[in-house]
Amino acid sequence: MTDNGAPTLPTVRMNGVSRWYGEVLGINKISVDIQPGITGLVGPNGSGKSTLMNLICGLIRPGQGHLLVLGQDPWNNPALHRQIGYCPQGDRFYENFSGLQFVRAMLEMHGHGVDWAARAAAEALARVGMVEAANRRLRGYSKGMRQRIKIALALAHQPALLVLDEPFDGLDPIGRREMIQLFAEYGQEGRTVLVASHILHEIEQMTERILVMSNGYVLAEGGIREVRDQMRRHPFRVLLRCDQPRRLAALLLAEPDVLGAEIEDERTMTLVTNDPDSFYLRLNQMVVDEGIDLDLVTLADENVSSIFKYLAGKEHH
Amino acid sequence: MILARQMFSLTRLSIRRLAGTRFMIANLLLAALPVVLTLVIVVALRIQQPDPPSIEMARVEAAHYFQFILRTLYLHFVVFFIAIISGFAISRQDLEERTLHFILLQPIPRWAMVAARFVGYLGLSIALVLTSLWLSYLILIGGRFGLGGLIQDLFGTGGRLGGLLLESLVLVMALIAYGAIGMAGGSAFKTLVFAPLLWVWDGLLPFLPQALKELSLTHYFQSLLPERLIEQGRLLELLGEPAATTQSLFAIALVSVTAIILALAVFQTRECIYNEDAA
Repeated sequence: MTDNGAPTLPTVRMNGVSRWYGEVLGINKISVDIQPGITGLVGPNGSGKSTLMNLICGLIRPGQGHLLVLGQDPWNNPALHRQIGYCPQGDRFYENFSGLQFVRAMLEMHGHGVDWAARAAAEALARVGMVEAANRRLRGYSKGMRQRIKIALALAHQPALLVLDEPFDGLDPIGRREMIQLFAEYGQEGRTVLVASHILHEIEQMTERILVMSNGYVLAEGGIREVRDQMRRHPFRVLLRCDQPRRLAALLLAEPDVLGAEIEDERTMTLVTNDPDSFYLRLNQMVVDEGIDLDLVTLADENVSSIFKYLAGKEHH
Repeated sequence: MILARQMFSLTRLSIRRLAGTRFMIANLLLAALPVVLTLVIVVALRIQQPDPPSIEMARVEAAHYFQFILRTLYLHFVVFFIAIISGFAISRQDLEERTLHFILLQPIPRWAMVAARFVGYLGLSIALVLTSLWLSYLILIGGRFGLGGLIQDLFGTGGRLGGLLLESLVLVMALIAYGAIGMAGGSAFKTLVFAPLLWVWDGLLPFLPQALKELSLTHYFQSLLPERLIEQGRLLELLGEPAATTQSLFAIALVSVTAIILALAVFQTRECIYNEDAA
């Protein structure tokens, strides 16, 4: 909400947006709002993540539907490009430029003068840890260094919306951790960061909010838990630690929403249920009635990776 | 002011990028070709006639050679291919190299992107072609008559400076027109297939009836060249009756503007789709 109580517009609003490449589907009838903060974009290859990002950046046009970015149509809207930073998945550059020359040349086209461009480029390269290699030719860079240059370019002009397509590709673990920290800070500043990644646990380290895509559709969106709720049919695995796991397993298996049980060791068991809410209610009652000493109950797989695996599996079937 | 700065930056970037492509090697070779040929002519003339019987006759002879090189080699070959190739490159280079998104994401109107890149191409190609042309002239006249003869030809009785400037201007116009056609062609085609067709059409000029000659751009460039050295020669026969200056300027401007508008229209709606996206 704004100060006067009016609802704030989301950074990105898509309403029934579709995009086809000839007969090949890019995305189909997508309606989502993306709010400030970090949103993770999850989905297998060919799920439409890059198409969605290209649409948001105004690089392609929707075939159908309405798309607003920061309240404006992004297609052919140069003024809006000042507020968008894009790190593309592709790895092509002007190879005979140095990293610094490349970022500076791009920033000079913002029209704020060469001094501003030089300063902003130097600051951006410092933020991604590329100061020492700044004057080397791009063609001599490693994959990770090239990735850092793309990220530097995306955030050098301090955009309100940062769109990152597989930004961790080619980065070593230290680099990944640094970039996660960088994006997290960026999101905490109240800006909008949209990150697509295959490295899912890294998305989890940055955000709770995800958008799951598959075959051109958004399958689920929201917090990781909300996404779970949207996928009710997907069985949940619950880890339990108690003094009588075998007895508790036998009791629970009689319940209609418990699909299976597995004894891990003398104190630990895993249950599979398709309705965790009612399961929890009954479990509480059961341990009180039966006098079972229960010291841990947790979802065994509530993370993006499990959702992704589930989606990928569902696709195969 | 901001837009001017943006366009200047993009122009500079375009020059740097064009200069770094394989097309530039082809352009350098093309520009070097008349210079080498001129050198060969001068050496051959010096061997054939170490002491010309009359300086004035020798100067006329050298000027004829220069006109021949200018009309056939520069206008019909060097300028044509440098312009078409470079114009094509500015349309397609980013798409081929999959770097188009870097440009399209800039806060610059698309018409300004096209204009800035075209200006960049012109700056580079004009420098290349005019350096080559003037070098050929210097070699041909200076190599034959020395520095004194060269100064005499340019500023003295020869009075060639004005003519040379006018010839340079015609080549610049040809670079604009053919470059615009190359740019429009690059917007419409994936390969340079249209270039040889256009070149053959321009090459057929001497064999075409007068009415058809007027459908060729070369006809108008030839018409604009100062012809005081070849007033009634065979060259004039081949090229046909020259068009009036205003008609030539109009025809060249019409073709150039149409081609630029076509390239603009295509770029205005161009999406950043590389092959892999559609696969």
